[in-house]
Amino acid sequence: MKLKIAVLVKQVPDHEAMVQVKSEQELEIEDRYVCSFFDEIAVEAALNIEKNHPDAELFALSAGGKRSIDALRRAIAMGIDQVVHLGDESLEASDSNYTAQVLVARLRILQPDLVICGKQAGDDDYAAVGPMVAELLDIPHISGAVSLDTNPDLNMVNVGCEREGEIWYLESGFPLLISAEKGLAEPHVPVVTRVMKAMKANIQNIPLNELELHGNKPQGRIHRIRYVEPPSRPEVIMMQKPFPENISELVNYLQEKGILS
Amino acid sequence: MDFKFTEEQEFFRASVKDAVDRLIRSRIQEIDEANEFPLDLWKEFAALGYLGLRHPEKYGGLDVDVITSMIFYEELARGSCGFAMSVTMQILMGTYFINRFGTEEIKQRVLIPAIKGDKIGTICFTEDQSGSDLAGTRTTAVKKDNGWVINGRKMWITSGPICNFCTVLATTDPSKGLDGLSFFLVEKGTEGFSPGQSINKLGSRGSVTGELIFDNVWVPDENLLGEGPGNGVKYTTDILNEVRVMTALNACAIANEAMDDARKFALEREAFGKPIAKYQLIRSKFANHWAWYEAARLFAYKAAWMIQEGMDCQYECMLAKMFATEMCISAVDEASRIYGGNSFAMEYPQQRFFRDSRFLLFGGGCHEVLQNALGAAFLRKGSRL
Amino acid sequence: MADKKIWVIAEIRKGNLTRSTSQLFGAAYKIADQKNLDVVGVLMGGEKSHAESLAQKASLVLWINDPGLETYEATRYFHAIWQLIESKGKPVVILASASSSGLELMPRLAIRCETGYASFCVDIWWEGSELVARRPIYGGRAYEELALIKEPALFTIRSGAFSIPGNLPNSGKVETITLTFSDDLGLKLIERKSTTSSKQELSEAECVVAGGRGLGSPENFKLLEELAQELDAAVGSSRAVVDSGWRSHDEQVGKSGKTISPDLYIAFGISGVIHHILGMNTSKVIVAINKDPEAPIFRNSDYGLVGDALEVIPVLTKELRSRR
Repeated sequence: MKLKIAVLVKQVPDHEAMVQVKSEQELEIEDRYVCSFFDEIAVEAALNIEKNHPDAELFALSAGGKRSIDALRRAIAMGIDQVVHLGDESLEASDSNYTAQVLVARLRILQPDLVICGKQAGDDDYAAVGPMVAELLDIPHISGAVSLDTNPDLNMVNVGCEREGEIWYLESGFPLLISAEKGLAEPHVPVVTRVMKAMKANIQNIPLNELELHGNKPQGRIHRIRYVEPPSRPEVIMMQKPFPENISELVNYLQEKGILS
Repeated sequence: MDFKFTEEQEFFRASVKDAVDRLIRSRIQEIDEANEFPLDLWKEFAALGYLGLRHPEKYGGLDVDVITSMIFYEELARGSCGFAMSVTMQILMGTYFINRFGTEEIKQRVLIPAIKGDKIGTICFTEDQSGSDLAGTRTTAVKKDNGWVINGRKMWITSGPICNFCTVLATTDPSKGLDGLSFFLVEKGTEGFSPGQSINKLGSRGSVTGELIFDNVWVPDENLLGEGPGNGVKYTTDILNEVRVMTALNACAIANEAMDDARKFALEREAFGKPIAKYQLIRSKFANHWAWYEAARLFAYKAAWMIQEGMDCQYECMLAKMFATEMCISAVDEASRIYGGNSFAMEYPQQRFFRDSRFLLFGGGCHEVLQNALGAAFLRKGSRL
Repeated sequence: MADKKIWVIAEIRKGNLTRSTSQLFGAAYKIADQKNLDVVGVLMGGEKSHAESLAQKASLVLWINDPGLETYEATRYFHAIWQLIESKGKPVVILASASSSGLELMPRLAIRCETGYASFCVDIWWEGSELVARRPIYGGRAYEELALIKEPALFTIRSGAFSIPGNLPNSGKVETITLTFSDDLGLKLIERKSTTSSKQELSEAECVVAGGRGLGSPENFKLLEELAQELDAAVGSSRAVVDSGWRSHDEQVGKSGKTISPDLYIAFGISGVIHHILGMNTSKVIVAINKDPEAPIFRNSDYGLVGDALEVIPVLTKELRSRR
């Protein structure tokens, strides 16, 4: 069986980028964008499968504005040749349902055996699009995969996934969606020939009006009312006494506060 | 006019940055302290293919344009300065004449392994009594038996002690001065060719720099690189333009690193009850640096663009190098003042920016020599050429 | 009984209802009282005793008692809860923990119910007739407040965001429900492996003691484990420690690891790069111990102590033991 694998990627601010609430309706985000951490792991996991099954066919998809193109270029640089950019800037403010609908509109045509996405995106940290895509495609899914063993000839996939304090090994057939946790694969640094290929690639865009979206709306189920500042912490209280008296000083503070009995 | 990088160039920059971040940046301090050539990192980095940046695709190169290569050099210098020196020596100077003038056989034997990183190359100009003054070159090449016999000692050779091959500047006719110079390929294992002492350097540590000794080294005629003999200096100008703009962008990168580190420090460090970033004297340092940095970087990329367009830009390249380097020296100084006493501690990076930046004063032509040439040119033509 | 309901999806781990499950009731009653809603516990699998203990908190417990639900398995649980919705009608709100299972179930359910879903919520309340949720975005560098337009509104709640409600007058009924499952639901659990040495699990623990490179070596984490035992705490690690292979990834606190909100977080020898801060800055009380008085971790802490973690840990363990 020849495997068809679709990887879902997204471009997000670097985790060190400055993000500030400018107003209730606007964030100020430093212009440092990267392919989302877990999405790169997903790409690498797909490439690892391709190493064992060279006839596997790999796709990368990204739904969103112009920035999505960079995530797709990254996927090309890492080793995926076929990429599709879906939609436009209007997707940047959409809820996860709508994003999932857009991706699924294309995935229904591609009919992949395996869909791999990141555990969650590095911007809204929603962790929802993956499972939603699985439900819309009516296929099983496993979140937080840390190991993946595919056997297309036996129609079998073994996935290890992180649960609270445990790793669970699950068995499934195709088709299946998994979301990648840290540890599933170690993203490599792309070789420059692939970087050049990615630089020059002409990336196909499919506009929203060419996708079958069944009347779904960008914020049809959830709408954002406002952004707010994160809560701030009061000034730190430093222990003043020398060691080891500063230890009882600390424990006294914690007992006063009622945090230690 | 258009000052934008293309989308493709921006993506290229992000990719180089990512490679530098992931492979090199975590090792900067270790490389600096060990002061040994990091061969494992060299192999890992070479495998990415960047060593063929400026060479033809048929030898495994990438053949990118000048501006794209400058983007690479700038991002590379954000990592270990010593490692960047070894890499740029390989890409730009160490293989330049082999690519341009080598026979097909030489390219197969030397260039292809160099692009793969299996062979390390260098170029030798400097001697104990000559550097920027090439006419003072004392290394000689004398015709003998379908070849040349080379005698002399070269100093301050980046990657010299570990090189597998080198392009050496020698005079075939000392009476002709600059017009008697030629380049020769000498490979490791050739009788009479040996490395001398390594130099314990102030900065750019992790690149190995030292002496190369040529004691009656015979090389065949085809190892004379370029039409000649006697055309060495003419070719030197071609490569020096790129070397100087590259050095300018190294300077920009070091300055930016130093000031960015100082910026983070200023936002966090408190004095008299508030972060030092709130004080006007500290802010003025950032404002002034910003202006000089923007100007230096703009100038460097303008010079790169001129090279790419095939324009005559010898003086612009000299100016850009000199200006960016002086900007860097001053930025590192100001950054260390913002940093206060911690800039004097070996555990913080400011001391390394200071040490690394000093090299820029000499690499690519020392400023006193450049100023002499630039002053003379200005007197001749004025600034609007 | 009011006919409008809030469902609280209970979770059992290691034979007990999780602490997060109890916290969900804090969220449930906050929104129930204002609109006269009934709080209903939903238990899939588990024992009668679990159902009864849940009934202390709810007016009704729907207990799906099926051997197939003994251990959580996404597709089976999903089908169970979907069948429950079909037979009992849609509630107004469904709450689950932002645990690995909650995060798997709820987005799927949102699609099946054609409704909205908000994950990792730290607060929920009514604004007029709309339910609003606050959740961190960009790793906690900002928060957003969302209105859920459709019913049922689905939420996963971040562990530690709500307190466990005190004396609840409820003593609800337990309604036992049996369902039918098709044999092949796609996934089969083959094996489970424990990855943590501490008794407490990181995202559930009320107290977390975390170690960074300042501990010097993987062996020194033993000291931290002893302290954890004394405090009944879970052990956490910085990314540097996990990347060096000293500890396993599921102990990692930070942007590419776990985001946790215990009542007490104590960081030993962790400098506090933004990556780490984003994983723990919603903890109620943060204590930092670091050699470097300039370490950024102190700016994100309530209490700071300048000192060598290796010296401090054993003395602290002894001090706590002597005060018991």
